[in-house]
Amino acid sequence: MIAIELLAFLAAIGAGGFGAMVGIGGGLVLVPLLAVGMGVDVHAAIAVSLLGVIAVSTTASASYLESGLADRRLGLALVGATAIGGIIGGYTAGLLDARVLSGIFGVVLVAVALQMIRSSRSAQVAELIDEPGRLEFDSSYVEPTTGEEVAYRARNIGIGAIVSIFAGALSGLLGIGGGVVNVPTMNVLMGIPIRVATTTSTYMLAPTAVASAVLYFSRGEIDPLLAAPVVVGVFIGARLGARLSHRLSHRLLALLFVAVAAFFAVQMLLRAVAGT
Amino acid sequence: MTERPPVHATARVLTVGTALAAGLLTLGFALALAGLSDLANSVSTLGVLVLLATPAAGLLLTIVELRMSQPRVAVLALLALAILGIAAAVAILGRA
Repeated sequence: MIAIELLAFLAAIGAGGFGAMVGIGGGLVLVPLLAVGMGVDVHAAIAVSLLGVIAVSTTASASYLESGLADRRLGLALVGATAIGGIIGGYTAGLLDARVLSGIFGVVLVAVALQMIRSSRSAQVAELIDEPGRLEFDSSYVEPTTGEEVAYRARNIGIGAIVSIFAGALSGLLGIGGGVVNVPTMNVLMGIPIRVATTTSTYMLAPTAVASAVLYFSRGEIDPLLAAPVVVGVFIGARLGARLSHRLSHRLLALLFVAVAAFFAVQMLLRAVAGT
Repeated sequence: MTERPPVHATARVLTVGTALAAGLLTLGFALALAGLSDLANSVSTLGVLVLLATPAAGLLLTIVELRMSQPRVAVLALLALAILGIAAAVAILGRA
């Protein structure tokens, strides 16, 4: 048992670090690493991954709120929707067996890898304005690299909220952060600058993950002895990853992620088909 | 420069809550490595509960912080907190 806990700890450091470096969170790597690499039940792997999401999101949110990089008003407008999605995802996961969940996870991994290839070729989109007006979702932030105040206007709030329900459901169903849906939705669909989209998405992840994690907890799918090394490991890994990310090429990391995602996607799909 | 609403109390409760949860989970991990599984299980469970409660506490502090300066945003935080309450209710009812 101790060997499993140590392995889970090391896997969580690796997944948290890699997730932070690539910018997709650790869950997409952690869940298959625990399920495929260590034989942990998929439901249990998803449940502890959600706890890792909460730990990393909560810590980062405190810093993003203090620096003004996260748009709290926008985040609170959307987090209700993602939390509803989280309940739907967490509840649905309890109805699905491990094979189906593995299959869905494999398909999502392929989709995220394809999105990562596409996004590295496309330009960022944002609706910038001269200064924040009186509209409810006009806001601004100070760009850390230039020190300049950047004003922007959020659009399509209603459609963004509907997509956020889907993001929350995906998070609750698979134990991933949901940023893979939230960030492009806010940036492309709602016109939020990519830096604010990323930080605001991070702010939304913890309440979203809590909405589904309590359901996993009530079903007895959170093993505290597995949760401890995983949460601590993800926490350490995310900090190391954030430091290392500046030293490595994002393009190289994205390619590495695509390779890792492809490997785990095949493994998860094989589990779904073979039921092992 | 645009004036920003207060965030300090929310940021502080998020930091303290995560630090407390991380401390308990680290202790639980260490106890498990020392072979004290029962105690490790109890301490780790407490750590998990603190971790689950921290974002809800953050929303509560947001309501307190913004209730005067941005009442409509405070209502959004209240709604988000209510949805977490529904999640907890679904979890408890599903267990019964």
